Amino acid sequence: MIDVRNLRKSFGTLEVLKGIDLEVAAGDVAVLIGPSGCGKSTLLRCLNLLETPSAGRLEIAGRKLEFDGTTRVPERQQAEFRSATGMVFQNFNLFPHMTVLENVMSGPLLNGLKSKAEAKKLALALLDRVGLSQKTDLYPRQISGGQAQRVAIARALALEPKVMLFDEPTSALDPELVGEVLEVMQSLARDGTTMIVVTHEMGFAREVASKVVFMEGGHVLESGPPAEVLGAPRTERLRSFLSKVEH
Amino acid sequence: MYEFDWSVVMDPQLWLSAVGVTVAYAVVTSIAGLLIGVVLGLALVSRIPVLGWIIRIYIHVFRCTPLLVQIVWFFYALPMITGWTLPDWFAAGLGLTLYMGAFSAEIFRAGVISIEKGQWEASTVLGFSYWTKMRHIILPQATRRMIPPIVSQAILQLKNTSLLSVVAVPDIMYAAGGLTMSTYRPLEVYTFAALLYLVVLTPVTLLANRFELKH
Ligand SMILES: Nc1ncnc2c1ncn2[C@@H]1O[C@H](COP(=O)(O)OP(=O)(O)OP(=O)(O)O)[C@@H](O)[C@H]1O
Ligand SMILES: [Mg+2]
Repeated sequence: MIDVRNLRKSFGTLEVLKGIDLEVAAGDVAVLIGPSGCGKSTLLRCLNLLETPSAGRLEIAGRKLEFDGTTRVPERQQAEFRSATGMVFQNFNLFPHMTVLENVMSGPLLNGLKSKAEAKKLALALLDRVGLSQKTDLYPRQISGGQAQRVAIARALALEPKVMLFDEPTSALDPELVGEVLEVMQSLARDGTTMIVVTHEMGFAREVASKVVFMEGGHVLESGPPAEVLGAPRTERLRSFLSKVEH
Repeated sequence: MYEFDWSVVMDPQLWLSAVGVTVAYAVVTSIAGLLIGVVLGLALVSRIPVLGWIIRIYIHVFRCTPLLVQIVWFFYALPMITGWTLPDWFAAGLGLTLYMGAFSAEIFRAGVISIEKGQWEASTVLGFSYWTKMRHIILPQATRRMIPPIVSQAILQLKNTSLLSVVAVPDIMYAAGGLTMSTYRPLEVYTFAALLYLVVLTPVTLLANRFELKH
């Protein structure tokens, strides 16, 4: 489903991704872990072209792109490539001037993919799926962070992406609200959604991930099934990282 | 001790037409200026290469030179240089319009860039085209933030119409000038003129405050 080869990304002279290889199969849940600043967000943002990679190859759901530092992907092709992925941000980024329902309808509706009635029907079904069918007419400022993040998940799902990308979806939440978001993500995983998740929630990694990827300094240091990577870390780096996050 | 003689300002006909002229210039040049501002502001935020620089220079020049000079210049110099014969009432409003245009372009640009990066990114990720993002995501949020500065600019614009008297536009200030000449009572006349500006602007300000409270 996802095949990343030798992906590099520099900001000016700072090389943040130094040759990343990553494979994620359909239905997999890959959890990306690593210390702050190691390039996790940058990697996710390269996958949907919020950042343009400096070098390497990307393949997502059959769409391929190659980069050599001068590559400029035309708008239209970017949008086409991006449509394979949905993204959930740490800060939700809901549209504050739209209701919960309008937020979820916005993708299909504003892209002209569905009629208003169809978009509404889909949005209501998705809001039901994330447990928010009671909140459809509220505005983002009227709901809790956990609810907002679930709306954001529903909004991304409305475009029926092949892969869902999550960048620290629970980091901005009060501890008591983390569970409801993780539950929704877990249910997506059960339904076979392919996901790449950046998170510090080791419990989620252990129970839900089919693959854990440990990054440091712009490299992938270890990757494999959670039992292997988290249970028997091979590098000292990962051991010390795990001892820090698992208090 | 000075004795006020308010009888000298009693000329309803004169003032009524002067208020009409002032309000008309304020409204028309504000609206025309806003339109210019929206177009230029949009061009600015879409980062069109060369045009962006030209617009920036325009904004800079109009923000940093006296409005009085702009009015005089467009009234006398422009027709001379270009050879165009512009109707006086039109040439008189040009400076004010372009002045408002410069300020509102800047207000517009500031409003758009004040929207958080996350809103752009979320809409990019949802696959929206540039114009879809602008129209449905960015502008609805930005216009709310633009309204207070635009209202205060429009209020300034109304007061700035007083400068039009230098090119003989019969506005409130011009009427006051004429009346002073004939009565030698500047204190009464100008105080009354100020009162007229106050009367026109008070409801505008109240309305604007009302709107701000609502949003
Ligand atoms: N747009 C940018 N311009 C310049 N430098 C950037 C940019 N985005 C990220 N960086 C730098 O790239 C490095 C990696 O950032 P990134 O956000 O990918 O890390 P991260 O692993 O997601 O960290 P965190 O856990 O704190 O979110 C950091 O040093 C950061 O300062
Ligand atoms: Mg990050």
